[in-house]
Amino acid sequence: MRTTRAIPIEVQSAVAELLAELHSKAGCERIGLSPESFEVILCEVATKYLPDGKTRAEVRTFLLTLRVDELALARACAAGNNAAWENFLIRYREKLYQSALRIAREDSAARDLADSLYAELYGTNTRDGERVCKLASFTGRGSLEGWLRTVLAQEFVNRYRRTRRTVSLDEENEDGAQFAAPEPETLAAADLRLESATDAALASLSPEERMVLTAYYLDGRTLAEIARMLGVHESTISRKVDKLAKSLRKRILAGMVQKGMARRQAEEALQVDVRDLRLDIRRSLAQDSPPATFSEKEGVLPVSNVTDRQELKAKP
Amino acid sequence: MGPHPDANLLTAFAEQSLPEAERRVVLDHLARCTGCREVVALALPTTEDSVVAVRENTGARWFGSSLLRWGFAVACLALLAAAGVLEYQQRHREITVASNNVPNLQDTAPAATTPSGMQPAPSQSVQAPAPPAIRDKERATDREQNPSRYIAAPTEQRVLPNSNAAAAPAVSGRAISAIGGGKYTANAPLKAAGAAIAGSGSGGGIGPRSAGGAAAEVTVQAETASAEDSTPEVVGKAKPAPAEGIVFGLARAPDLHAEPGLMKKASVGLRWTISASGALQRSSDGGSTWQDVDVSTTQLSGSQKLISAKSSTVVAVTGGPEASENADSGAATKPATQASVAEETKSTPTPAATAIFRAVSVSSDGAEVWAGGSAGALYHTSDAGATWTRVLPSENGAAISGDVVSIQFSDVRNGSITTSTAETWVTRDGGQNWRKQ
Repeated sequence: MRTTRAIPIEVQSAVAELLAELHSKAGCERIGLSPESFEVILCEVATKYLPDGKTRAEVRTFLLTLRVDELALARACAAGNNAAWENFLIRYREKLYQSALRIAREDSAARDLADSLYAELYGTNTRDGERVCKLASFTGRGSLEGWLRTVLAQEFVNRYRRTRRTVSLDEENEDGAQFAAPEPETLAAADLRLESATDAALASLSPEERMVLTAYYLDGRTLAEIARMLGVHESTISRKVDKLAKSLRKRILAGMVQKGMARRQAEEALQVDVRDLRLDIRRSLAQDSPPATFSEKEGVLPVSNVTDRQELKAKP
Repeated sequence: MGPHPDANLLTAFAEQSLPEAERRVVLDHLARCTGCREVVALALPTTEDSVVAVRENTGARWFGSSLLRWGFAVACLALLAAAGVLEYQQRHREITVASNNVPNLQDTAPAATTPSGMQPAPSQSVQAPAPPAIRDKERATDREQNPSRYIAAPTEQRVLPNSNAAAAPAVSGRAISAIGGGKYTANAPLKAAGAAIAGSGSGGGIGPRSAGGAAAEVTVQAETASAEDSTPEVVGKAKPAPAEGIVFGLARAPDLHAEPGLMKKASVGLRWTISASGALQRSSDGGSTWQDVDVSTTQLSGSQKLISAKSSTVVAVTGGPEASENADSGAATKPATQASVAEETKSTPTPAATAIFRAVSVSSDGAEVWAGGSAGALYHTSDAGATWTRVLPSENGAAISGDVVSIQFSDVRNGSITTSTAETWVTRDGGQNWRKQ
């Protein structure tokens, strides 16, 4: 993987300071990873995730939270160390197939999915004449097992989308009908105001609240699933969804009144029916991500602002 | 909408290990990206995993199994019976009881399960009077005569020579020895019950759960297991499959590995491996989660037996959260585990417990394990890792040298190990005596 940024001096010194400790903790000797190459890996990982201007202590803390043993194992595999491969296969091969089966829910597709990832992991693909091993992009932020599951899921979603684009028109229409917004011509001026008020209300939510709403109303995830995605208890999410729906309604109402609608008119626009509100939320949240496939992106995600909502919404 | 977070970030997000700032960024992306939401949802670990992990954590799982529920009930009954016997003896044979049980303090394990002053069960009567060595031999003969039984139910077999009725005298005998033959208090048998339950949790519980419907066996097994903890050289009682030792490799039960589905069905599930950092690890769910195994051997005297059984449970419990986080192998748990063991037993683990392992050999049922590694470290367990014995092969004063790089046991008694100094040590009696070749 390329390093696009120069390695900050703080990162270099923190890595140098912790290198011996992490090197032995990760058991690098056993899998043929020299301190020098491990140092390069650690610098690369730290530079990738840490924005510039972090202090040495912050880099230190970051390094100590990495799963260095799994990082070392993955990178040693990528470097082609046999002992590392043997270890990796014994620990993860079966899990790979199990996870693929759970994601694809069907045996042949699962086998296909796992095999293609397996080939990527083994590095049968080449880029610019160089063997590319997907394990080289593992950075030890999460567990190796979880990473494998995520990569499988990404591959699965990519394929699913690719094939979905080739489904028959009928199906596509059916599919679209599910999420289709109400007929545009029926939208009166009041509804336009409702729409913008809804947008404003949604924009005022925290990322987590928006994520909960989209997962619940748009993806149709169960409360239990959302709870597990966020690592909280199901009842917490249940309360949160209730609270959010109520407060959203209030805020949308207030927004419409602010935009010059009479309170009564605003209430009528909302039709006081929660289900309609939900439909509204769903429509406002509905936005498809660009069809770009998942790939390793360099650098840190920019904190995107919410103003692109409008243009995204125009898509479906 | 920015670029998709990479798989590392999504994984760390799902595992709740992102710092707040990064978490917000990912959440913000997730709120607007259907694809990434789907990826995170699809990549969630199975519900069973987390449920199991939580249960393991609280220890409630042991009581969830009907076998152990009944086992617990029978243990209570056995305790009541023991109390009755004690009460009776206290009243009528106080002097006899005291003199009979004082020697039990120094007795080794098998004797503790068959106190001579008690009334042994009919099935036990043949073996009860025999000294431990002879009993072992008898078991061996029995095994030869009856191999099918031993192969079929390896963990069960330890139980078979004892009967339900033996549990009562065993518990009462311990109760007395725990308080040094003094006056009977209600507290003592409770402690023994704790040991029995803990023992069944660590020793029996990990083994095949199909170990038979007779709940009494659990009690007895727990007794036997915890009592045998202190036997320094435990000869294996399970018949291992032809096991293999790979240099820096991992040998599991080969037949089980060949058929993972089968292994799950049998719920034997115990697998062993060595992590990249040379830590010995065990998986009780067919390889989904791995826990570090602490092989610290502690030679405990009679009064500490109870504690020893307890501490093995502690080891299992500290492994719990670990497992749920998907095998963060190595340093993180190891000190914690050792600390808790040290705290519970008030004894320090042997320094060699930190050995870097290189070879492991496992019997077909996963109970009989040999593990070896740096500086001649060689450990043996015959109860799936609940208790470990350090084995030091030597012949005519010459001890093993170098690292253990390969271990091969063709059955429970016959095995050989190879070291990095090209020494080969052979045993014909399950590790009691070694010959250098």
